[in-house]
Amino acid sequence: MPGAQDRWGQLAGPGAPMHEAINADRPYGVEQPERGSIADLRRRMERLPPGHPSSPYNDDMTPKPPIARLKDLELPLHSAEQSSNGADPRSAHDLAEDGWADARAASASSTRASAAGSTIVAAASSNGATGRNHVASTLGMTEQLLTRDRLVTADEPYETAEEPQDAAGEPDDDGPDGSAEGTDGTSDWLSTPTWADTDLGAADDPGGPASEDDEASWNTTGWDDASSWDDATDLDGASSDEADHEWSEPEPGADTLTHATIEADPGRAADEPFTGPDGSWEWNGRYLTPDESRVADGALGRCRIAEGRNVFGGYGHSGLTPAMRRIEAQLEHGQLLPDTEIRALKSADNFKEKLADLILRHPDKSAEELALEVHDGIRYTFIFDAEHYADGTLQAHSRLKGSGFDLEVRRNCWQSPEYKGINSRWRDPAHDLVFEVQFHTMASWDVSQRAHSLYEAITDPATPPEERARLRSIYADMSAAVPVPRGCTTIPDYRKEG
Amino acid sequence: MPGDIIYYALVGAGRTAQAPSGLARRRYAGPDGQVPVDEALRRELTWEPDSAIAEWEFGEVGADLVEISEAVAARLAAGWRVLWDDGG
Repeated sequence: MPGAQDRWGQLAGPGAPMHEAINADRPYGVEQPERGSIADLRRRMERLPPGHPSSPYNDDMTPKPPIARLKDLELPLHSAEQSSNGADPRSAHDLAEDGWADARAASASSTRASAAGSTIVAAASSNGATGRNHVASTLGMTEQLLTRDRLVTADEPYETAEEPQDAAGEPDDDGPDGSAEGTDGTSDWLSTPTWADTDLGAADDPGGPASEDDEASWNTTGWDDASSWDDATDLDGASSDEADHEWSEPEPGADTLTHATIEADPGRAADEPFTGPDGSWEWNGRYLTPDESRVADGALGRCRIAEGRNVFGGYGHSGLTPAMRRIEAQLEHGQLLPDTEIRALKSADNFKEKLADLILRHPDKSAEELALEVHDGIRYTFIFDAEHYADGTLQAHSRLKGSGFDLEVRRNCWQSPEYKGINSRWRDPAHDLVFEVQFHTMASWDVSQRAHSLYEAITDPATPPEERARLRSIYADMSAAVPVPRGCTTIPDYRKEG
Repeated sequence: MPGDIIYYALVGAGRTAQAPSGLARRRYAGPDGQVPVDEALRRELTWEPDSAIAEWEFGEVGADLVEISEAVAARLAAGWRVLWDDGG
């Protein structure tokens, strides 16, 4: 009778040489490890069905990404403390014993790193063990740490493997602008005098007329139509309610069974994401039930696959990020953000924060539905100089369309007093998920980054209304200095019907 | 503007303004009635502070916000009350 290992082998089939390589060094059945030993646990986990939370392999038989130890990433290690291959000097037993505590520490580190505008490797930030399965997750962490060397030596079906990013270089990616306090590379890049030296006279008046050429280029593309947007917005007239509403401070969120206002645990910092023993999640006053948290993990897992980074941290031909790089290479002007690979995937905690907001905001939808509507789980940003912004944005749209992506929404915010830029939402038919693409000039991107903390406060429901108004005024003052690129106002909003 | 309340249907994927997945509103408060207060309707049918409108004004490309009348908003909320009271 075939055992679990045999069924796994059948599932893997000839397309999974990686697993064969992984298992080749273990003479199965010849030597039984001591029950309860690391080797025994490793064997048992490898016999779990692929996709099982404790299995070291995904549904598609690819190994799960190795879990980085965040404290090793964010703290400069003394040379004497760091072994030559970067491996943790502690024993496997120590790792197993400390795994749960490390998962909590990793979660806390994630917040600290985000708050400081530093970086977290996406795979690491999204792999905090859930409380419900913390024993299994702990074992999983240990297992993957132990097997990392073997995974790396397996056959590699990809061309490149990037070096792990510096922990200080990855952004907190939440915000309308893929925002983050600048990474080192970004800061250097943004500090170039390109936009500061821009001739303001070259920019259009935001409300000024557009040249016929510019307008023609958008109106003749034929694949989107602003009229559909206009039709959609004329459903009902504005409210004419004259009731006098008394001033009152915002009340805390309703106390319900599933989304009560979060009381901070006195034993931990309030700003740390926390996964409870039951698998629930909370952060910044947001809360997900265990089921909702699992839904978020699943949705983010789909994003991770679609984004394209493989288990070794590199990219092959498939996936959205390689596709975006190919599109970038075809552009006459403009480029993706230099650290696109770091920014593209939303961190697990930011993803869950967004889902928690959507669940509260859309009570007539399920968490499963809403998880698929987190449109910026993957986000890309193209930067153009002001002179070529309109043409470059048009060309990028054309390339995206030509690559098989479907435009669902485009919003031209250049006439907004606050946020400047164009945001768009696209669907990747291959992975059946949506992602966001932003189009900026150097100046608009720079302001969106410098004002990101303002944006976070503005969109925090706990911010008092008068304070929010004050912050929006400051944001608008900062944006007022951004030159509006020629022709950009002719780019119409768009929303796909249906 | 002071004294007015503007209601929005939150139109998520697969929904319409007639059958939205949520409601948001902006009312004005403060000593001079100039401070916008943004709220969204929760499942408990209470209006709570929410940033959906501000996010939309900052270029969010998720759910669409479609302005609706107070009467339409009330009708939608009443429908949900019935639906959710029945365990829907």
